[in-house]
Amino acid sequence: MHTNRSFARRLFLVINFIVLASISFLCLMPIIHILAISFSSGAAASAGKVTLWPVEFTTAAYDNVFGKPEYLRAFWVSIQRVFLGTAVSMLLTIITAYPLSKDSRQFRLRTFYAWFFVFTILFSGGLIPTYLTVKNLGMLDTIWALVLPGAVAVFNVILLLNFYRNLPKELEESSRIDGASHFTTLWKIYVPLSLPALATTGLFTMVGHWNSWFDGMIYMNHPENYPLQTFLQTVIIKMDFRFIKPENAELMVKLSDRTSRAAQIFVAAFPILIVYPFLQRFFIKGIVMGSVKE
Amino acid sequence: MKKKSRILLIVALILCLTITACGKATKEVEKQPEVKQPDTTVEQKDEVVEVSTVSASDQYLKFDSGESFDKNAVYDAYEKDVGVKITNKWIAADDNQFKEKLKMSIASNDIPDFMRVNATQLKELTEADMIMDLTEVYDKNATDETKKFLMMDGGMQMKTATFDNKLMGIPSSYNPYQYQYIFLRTDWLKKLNLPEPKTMQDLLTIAEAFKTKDPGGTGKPYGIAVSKDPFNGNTGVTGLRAFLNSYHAYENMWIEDGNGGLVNSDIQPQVKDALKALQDMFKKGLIDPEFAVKDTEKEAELLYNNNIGIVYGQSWVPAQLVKGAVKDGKVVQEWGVFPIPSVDSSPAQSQIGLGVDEYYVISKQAKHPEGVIRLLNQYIVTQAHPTEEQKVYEYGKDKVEKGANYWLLNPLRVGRQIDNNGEILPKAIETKDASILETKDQKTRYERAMKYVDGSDINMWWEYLISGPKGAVSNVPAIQQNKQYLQNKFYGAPTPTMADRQEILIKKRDEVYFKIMMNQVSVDEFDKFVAEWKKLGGDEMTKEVNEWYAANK
Amino acid sequence: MNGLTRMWKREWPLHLMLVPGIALVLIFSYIPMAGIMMAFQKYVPNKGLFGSPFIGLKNFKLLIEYPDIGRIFFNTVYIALMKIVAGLFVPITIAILLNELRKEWVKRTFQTLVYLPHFLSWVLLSGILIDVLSPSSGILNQVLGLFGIDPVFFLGDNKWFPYVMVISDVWKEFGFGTIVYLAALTGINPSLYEAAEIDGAGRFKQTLHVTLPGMLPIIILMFTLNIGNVLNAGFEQIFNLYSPPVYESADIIDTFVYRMGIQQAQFGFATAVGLLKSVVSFIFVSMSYFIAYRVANYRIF
Repeated sequence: MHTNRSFARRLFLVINFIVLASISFLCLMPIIHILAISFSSGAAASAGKVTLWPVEFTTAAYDNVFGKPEYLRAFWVSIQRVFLGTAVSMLLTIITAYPLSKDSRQFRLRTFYAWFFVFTILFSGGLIPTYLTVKNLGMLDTIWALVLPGAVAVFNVILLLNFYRNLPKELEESSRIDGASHFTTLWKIYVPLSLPALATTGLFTMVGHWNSWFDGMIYMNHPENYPLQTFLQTVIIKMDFRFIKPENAELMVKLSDRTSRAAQIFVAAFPILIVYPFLQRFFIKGIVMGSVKE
Repeated sequence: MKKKSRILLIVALILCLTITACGKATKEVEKQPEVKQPDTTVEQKDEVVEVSTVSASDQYLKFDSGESFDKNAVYDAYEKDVGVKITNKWIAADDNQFKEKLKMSIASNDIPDFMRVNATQLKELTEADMIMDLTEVYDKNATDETKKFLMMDGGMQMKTATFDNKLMGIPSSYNPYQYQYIFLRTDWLKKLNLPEPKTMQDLLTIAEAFKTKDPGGTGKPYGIAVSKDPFNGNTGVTGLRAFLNSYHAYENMWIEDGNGGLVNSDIQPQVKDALKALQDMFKKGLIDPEFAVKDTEKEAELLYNNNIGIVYGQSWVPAQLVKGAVKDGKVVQEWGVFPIPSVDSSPAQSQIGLGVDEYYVISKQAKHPEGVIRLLNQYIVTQAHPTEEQKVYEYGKDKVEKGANYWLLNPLRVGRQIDNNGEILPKAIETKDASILETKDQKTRYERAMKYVDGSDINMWWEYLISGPKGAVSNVPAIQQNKQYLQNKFYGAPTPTMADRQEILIKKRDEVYFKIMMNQVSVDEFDKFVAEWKKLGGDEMTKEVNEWYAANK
Repeated sequence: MNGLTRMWKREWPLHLMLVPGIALVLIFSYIPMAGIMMAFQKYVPNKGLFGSPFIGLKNFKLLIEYPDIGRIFFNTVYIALMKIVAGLFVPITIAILLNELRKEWVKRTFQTLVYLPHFLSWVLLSGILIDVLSPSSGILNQVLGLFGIDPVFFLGDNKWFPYVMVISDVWKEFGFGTIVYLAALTGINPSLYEAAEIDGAGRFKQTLHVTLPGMLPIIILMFTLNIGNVLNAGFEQIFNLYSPPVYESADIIDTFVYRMGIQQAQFGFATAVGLLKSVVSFIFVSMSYFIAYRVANYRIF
């Protein structure tokens, strides 16, 4: 009986490994393909000759991006934006989720407040009024235009409040009996115990800030202030074939969409890709129980 | 313990304060009076006026050191020569971003003194009463040269900018006489011993031979390259407009019905003939069966890889073909260009546009509209016959071509409505005679083509195929002379039904055209489509267009 | 009175904590919501939101009277619902399977690999999909050919197109979606597993009786938030992959609004459609919220 089960278990482990390995393989292949394109010559790429290994190896697509003086400046704007944006947003998420995680007996208006926030992910006034608000606050061309409008990430707040709720009540009660304030309880107990959730929401915030480009374009009136992703949008010459005039024929020759688009992915994504493996260390099992036993 | 809570509180407060503080700080900066530049010019007519605009940069614009959009040789030259100081409300990094930002500027009623807008925006701004009637300002301030320059096409383009006899914008003009041609592999013609295409039948025979004999040796040959958007707009390459034209059919155009009225070309019986022919080609395997999902870039792979040797497109197609045709400094694919043939004895007419899709408009709030017209005058002068001094407008302070794209800094640009490239360029390149060249465009093209001729840059093959002795533009004089072109007879602003219904009409059309082409339905479905088209607002639209036509004939 | 003061005394720090969040949301979400009025207006920029003429329901009429509107709604809901269901099921399964891996570094490697596709754009992926799914040379059809199956034109066939959209979208996003569930797994009390094991429950039973219930709050939350997307079928993806032969099964609300936007530069129409989508989301989200509350006395948020 016992050996039987452990055999089944071992079989499961092997199959599980194979399944996950194949799925990971399916996710990796296109990435390798795109990486190969980014290192191939424009001609080979546009002829569709590249599969998983560069054809006519060249770093031209990367030189094109890195060779521009704007690159470093845009990179710096992005770094600022991610750090400032994530700090502000996480701080807000942590303190906003805490009161909302209380139940209605402890905090009577919580449900009202919860809906007050959720309502904003369902309804939006659209681009133009938001732009006007940002403009009237004088934030155009400042980093605040990229940081503040989305600072309250309601999705993250809700996610975090659900994690807060799962924390054992005894912890909070004992802390309150000791005379600690809400702020102390939040800081000393909630925050350290919800590390996995904070890592998750933190990652979402960082990825969100790093990847967004549209707001950079709308709110920045000088290309010098563009964050990286907005700048990279301009590296690829997008051409509406309907509006090509004969004078622009020369541009057509320079156009090598595929390699630069492929390179853009890696230039843009690499810094944010390495964040995840790093954050994985915060996914610690049993973190909550450990503290209760103590 | 309490400290922590206080810190949080303070952070929250600071956050709120920063928002308000930021707001104030920037506003104060904005309010600061402009620092007036000292007047150093001598020959100035009036005092310097200031006009604001919005600009698009591009990734090839490289500033000389110390220069920027705020201060540069071109702006300085305008200020010195015509007394107009140019400022920018904002700058976008490229044209796509420019268009997005412009939408925001218009929607939030925050427009500069003058700016470049598209036809729909021109109409919108006119209706909203946000832009100025330019009739008088233009009449008073435009020089004779300017007026002549913008009327070279007989006044069509100016008319499209005129609403109720009021000139609402300056057309950002260009040459409308851009024809479609057939590009085909002449090395394959030789290999298979086939004649050049003179009639539609010739062309179909060639396509079939390219399919059955597979001169590219790929094992997967097709006759003709087609992409997923073959009818919409002036699909530059891999389109089928010119194919329709060969059958005297046209894409979404208003043509004369012979009784003094206008009809839409999409529902005419000639289209059915063309679709029938396309269906036959599809059945024979002459068209890539997957064309419907491939965009131009994707379908072009088949051209680069020797699967296909025939493609329709505008004169600049060689700039695309060069990616497959020239390899390691050698021409590996030989292409020729031919005028589109006709299915019968009457010659085919090429469908062309009006040569204008953008306009420069002046805000109602602008204090110095005359300054904008002066910019226009000066631009035309410096383009048509620049003095040595005026080369600064094109190349910046060093006045020599450095590939820095300084021309982009001219805030108001109009192009020639007619060119004689077709007469001049092929002759000049054939005889290597640069003395007959007239315009700047011709000189640039000549230089590029000569690089191919003398072998210093084989990549310039494309310019040779455009401008050379047997190049695309060499066909223009004959087409022009025989008037083998057709322009849209309707050039007004979209009618109400058009605004609401054009989308569904084009969607239905594309659906049925594609299904017939791909042999999913019989060609007789076309007749059902015509009935549906009329019912879905087509008839209403036709009525409105004819009312416009009666009033504007 | 006394009760109220006591309540206030007890609760004021909680209110205080919400002040910065509420302030920002008021400024950047609620104030701009005035823009919803555009749905009922012929918006004229220089008259502004409060001066533009109202045109009643004309924008909504334009939408309702659109000849293909039924088809478009069906396509949108059909594709979106499948994406919601699959987008819930797949990440949860993968999270559980990843959780079963013994070696930490293997787990982390797989975790990272499946997360990569999220960072690719549909513009790039569309080119790859066209190649992979090509009936003449695509690898998928070649594999199918080994089993004697005739080539299928996945992207050009109305029967297949919606499923291709669902599968490719799930493929792109499931790795990113897994992260939330992995975080949820860390919150499960390990002693529950020990107890179950003593009761003689195998791994499968443990998954059923410990893991899934432990993840349930997050699963319900994710479902509730996703169901709000019932009218969002994925514009970027479909716009890059659809074509006239598959309009019948591929045309969704967003692609339609996009095409309309080219014909007429009216903000009203897009705003009207956006409002309609918001209302539908609102209905679905509140429904699942109140059902959870009534049935299980559980507040999702």
